[in-house]
Amino acid sequence: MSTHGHDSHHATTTSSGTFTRPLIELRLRVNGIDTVCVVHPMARLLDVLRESLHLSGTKEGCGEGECGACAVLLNGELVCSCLVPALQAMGTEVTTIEGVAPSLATLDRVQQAFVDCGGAQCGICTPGMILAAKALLTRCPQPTEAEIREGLAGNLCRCTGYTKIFSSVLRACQADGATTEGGER
Amino acid sequence: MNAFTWVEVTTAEQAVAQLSAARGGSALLKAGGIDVLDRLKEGLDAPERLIVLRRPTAGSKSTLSEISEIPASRLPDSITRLLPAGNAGDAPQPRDCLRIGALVTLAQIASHPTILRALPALAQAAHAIATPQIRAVATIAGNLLQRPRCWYFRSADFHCRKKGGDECFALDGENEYHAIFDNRTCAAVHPSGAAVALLVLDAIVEIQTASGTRQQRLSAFFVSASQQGGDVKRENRLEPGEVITHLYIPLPSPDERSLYLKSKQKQSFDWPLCEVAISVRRAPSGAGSLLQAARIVVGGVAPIPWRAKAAEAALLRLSKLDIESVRAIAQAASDGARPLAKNGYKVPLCQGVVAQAVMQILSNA
Repeated sequence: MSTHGHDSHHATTTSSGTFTRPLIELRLRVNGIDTVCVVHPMARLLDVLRESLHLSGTKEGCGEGECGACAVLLNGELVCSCLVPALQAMGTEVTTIEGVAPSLATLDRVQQAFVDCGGAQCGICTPGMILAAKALLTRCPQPTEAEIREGLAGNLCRCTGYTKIFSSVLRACQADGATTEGGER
Repeated sequence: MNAFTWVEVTTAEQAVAQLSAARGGSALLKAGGIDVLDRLKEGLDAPERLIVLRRPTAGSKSTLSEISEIPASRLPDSITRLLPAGNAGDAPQPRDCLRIGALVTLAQIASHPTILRALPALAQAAHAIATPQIRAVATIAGNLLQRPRCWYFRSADFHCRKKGGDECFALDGENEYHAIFDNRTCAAVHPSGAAVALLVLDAIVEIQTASGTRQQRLSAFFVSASQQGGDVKRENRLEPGEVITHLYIPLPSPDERSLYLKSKQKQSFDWPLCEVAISVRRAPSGAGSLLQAARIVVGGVAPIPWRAKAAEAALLRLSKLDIESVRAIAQAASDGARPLAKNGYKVPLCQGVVAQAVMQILSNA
């Protein structure tokens, strides 16, 4: 679960001798703030966010793109940050769960709906679920329940609390002033 | 993961130059990186140089990351000569085509208006792959070129034929997800769902080589170990140092239809147990049969996307849609199947998805 194992993969020797790790200066914009950090070039964006920037809201589940706990928005697209090498993130704009709420005092409507509907259980999947829901609502503002299920298909909930998560996303649409009810458009 | 040099390029020419510059050493091309990162982590690939083909930055345009309609009048001769003939024996006719750049993502394909309207099999296949997170990053060329997902191939612990060993561990092992056709050398199934759809749509692949570009029908691109020119260590005819640049897909006439179906264990985010794409062209009314052209390709059943030729022939003979005829077509879809100890279920499953596809496309056509 930690980055320790990841780093150790790099501390290998090659046919040309011991490999020393050069670091890179990674420039990217995170939650609206221009950021520079010095990282290993094949560090994952997930590591950069959690270890270098201390934005620990983004979680690591599987580390291989299957669980969605590490989902963030990269240039507006929902991606698994565990599959994005730091070099690939150079110059990009990243939104993490820490950048979703409009202010410290106000939650985003999706976050509020998760609170209201009990959509967050143990909480590990919640940041990824909320970013996946936001990505879905951006491209499909009034999803049916089937579209919600498909839009969140890349996010696993280990508490298996999917029903309340789907209800939360439906509630978030209603909070938008729409009349979505029971999955009907 | 081994140490390697990261080289960024934004054109296919640069990518080819960088791949060949690695002469004597190994180089690997990465686009979305979904499959490549997995392979690097598992140690299946250990390149000295990783050639990263990136979308150009905002402002500069590249056909590699675009979907565009190319009118027949502007279609290069190199593509026109590979288009299907209107009727058997005719010369290929220029047709309007859709050109899809190699770096176009699966998410873009699944939501593109022209593809949704005119090439539904492709939109459906792209949408059925993986998750929103993966589709936002995974490219169409990467989907076609990803290596098989056989668990023996993917594990560094098994030195199978695909890795230069002398054994296929699936043949006597855990083979419930493996091939039922052409499976005696290597029983891994081809992993690309998009390929299944692109094959029924007569797609043409354009490839950048060291000396220029070459084009070939996608139907001649994938090759299994048992076929002429086949090599168990590869799944296609892309030569080392070559790079896919575009796909050209002829846009269908009003009497043509296509669709794609996928059978899987989970509702979403699953590899297919069996998948099928079908395209048909209605016969003029008064003809003896319902269809004048039909193409059926089945995935998840063979080391390459599997053309069900016997089922196509049976479908072309169809004069009316009834259960007996559909059953005969479905039976023909599994002609030549030789299942392994644990994947016998794929024979009736293959028949079932083909029957469903035939009924669905004929009732909608």
